[in-house]
Amino acid sequence: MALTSPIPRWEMVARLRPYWTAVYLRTWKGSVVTSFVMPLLYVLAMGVLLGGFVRGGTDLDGAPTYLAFVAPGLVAAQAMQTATGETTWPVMGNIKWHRSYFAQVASPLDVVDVVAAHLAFVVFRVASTSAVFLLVMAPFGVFSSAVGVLLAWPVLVLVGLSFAGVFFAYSATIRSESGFAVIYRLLVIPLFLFSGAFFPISNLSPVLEWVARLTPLWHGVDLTRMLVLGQVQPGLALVHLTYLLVLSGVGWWLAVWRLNVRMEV
Amino acid sequence: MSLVTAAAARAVAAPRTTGWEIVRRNFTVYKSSWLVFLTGFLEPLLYLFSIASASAR
Repeated sequence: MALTSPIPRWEMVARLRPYWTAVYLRTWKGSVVTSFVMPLLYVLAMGVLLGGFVRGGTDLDGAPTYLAFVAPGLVAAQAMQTATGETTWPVMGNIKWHRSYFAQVASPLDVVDVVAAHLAFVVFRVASTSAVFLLVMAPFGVFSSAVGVLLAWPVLVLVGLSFAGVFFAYSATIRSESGFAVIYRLLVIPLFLFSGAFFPISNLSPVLEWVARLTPLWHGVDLTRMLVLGQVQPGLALVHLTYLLVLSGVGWWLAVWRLNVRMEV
Repeated sequence: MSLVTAAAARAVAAPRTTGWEIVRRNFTVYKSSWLVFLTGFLEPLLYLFSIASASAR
């Protein structure tokens, strides 16, 4: 338990930076292909090759080509997948397998700091993978303006954060890693497939379309698409932004709560 | 003593298993993970459903 120290909170969180730097330097090879090469393969396979079969003039939410439609969807889905990947097995490992969280709270650091440092690492991961994704797509000529892309970048980080908190809380709650396979199949993959990344959600039945509208990934995909295509609808964009900010805040709070409960056991 | 050793050596060299023990062992281990197997079947269906929705119009 940390005493009410005169040291500001952010400085306590920053004390975990050497730990997370070491973690990344030792493990980056394991994620470099999924983070940086797979997105490019998806863009080529889905956008360029499959997109070549999609007739022009089809309703693609205002996108001129299928490539321009699918690219922002894929980058938002990538942000979700990076964030969920970093807050599932790694969180369980830190609690159960190598128990680094216990080592961290045995110091003057509190659970709040531990969660903040882990989520800051997730932000770094999402920010770097999204930046590379956006840079790789730039030569394909699918972006309308550089300003839109620069605004989309923090939005993608927010998409990642909105998933990270909730998944962190889930990972800190469950006891067995088989729970991850289940949420990946019942939550992450359906979100990836049906949140408007690959096709407009208006293709779904009215009920499923509304379900899709309630999912965080749809808000992220739609906002990213608006920004990179330069077709921003201010009212709707504000709704998306509010949704993602609220979910990030709630997720963060849930993560601290669940880890606090778990660490007391 | 040598008889016991010889029996032990035989048991190690040619254990009397038919392979079913391994199957039973795996069944015991994985029967609590039935949801993982069940959702595994769902995954390709979801992919098919998404492709069907994508090409609906």
